[in-house]
Amino acid sequence: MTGQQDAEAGSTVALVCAGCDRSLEDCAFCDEVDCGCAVCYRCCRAAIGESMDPVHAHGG
Amino acid sequence: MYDYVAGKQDWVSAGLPTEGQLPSRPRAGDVARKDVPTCRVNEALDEVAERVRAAGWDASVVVNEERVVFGLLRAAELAAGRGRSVEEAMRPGPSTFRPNVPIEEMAGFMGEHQLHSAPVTTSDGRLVGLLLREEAERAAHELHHAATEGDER
Ligand SMILES: [Zn+2]
Ligand SMILES: [Zn+2]
Ligand SMILES: [Zn+2]
Repeated sequence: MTGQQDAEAGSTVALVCAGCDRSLEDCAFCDEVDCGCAVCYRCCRAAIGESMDPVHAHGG
Repeated sequence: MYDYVAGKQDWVSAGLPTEGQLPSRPRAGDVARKDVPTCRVNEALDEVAERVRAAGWDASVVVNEERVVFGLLRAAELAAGRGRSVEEAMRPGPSTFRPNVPIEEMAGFMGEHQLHSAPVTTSDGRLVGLLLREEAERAAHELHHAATEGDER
């Protein structure tokens, strides 16, 4: 599970949704870029009953 | 750590049935801690960290004057060092969850993703409370036991 660590310096580790194989920047559930069971927003929403909020931190 | 017992007490206070039939499933909003310390983006991190620790917490939710969630300070961010503002240290735009998510789903996901805490917000982004994994798991576990006992009747 930690095999990516050598490459972490500059390059972005490819993260893939466990549900649909879509590539992700970070896990939609835990926000981690190195989540071992990453899910995309859509799969996460489907899994927890369509009731997760979209992120809107920037009140811009 | 926290001398708070999540679970049945919350169902009672939510007016949900607790005896004689399967309890209504507790939701993220029922179990989320409403007393989570909050802070503002422009506060000094060390002051917030001190306040949070004094309250017996290791996390704080960053909100604006309308309690809209802007960020999250978990233990790592709270320890991020002196001379910084909350805004510099926080995790901006954390994933937030609606109060009606079933607690078993949240507990399962939080365990799988090793997520220690998750902010629960209304649909307009206002903080309801912070759901702690151990409390989500405890509530889910109690639900599981209640369901098993229910079957034996
Ligand atoms: Zn997906
Ligand atoms: Zn994750
Ligand atoms: Zn048990």
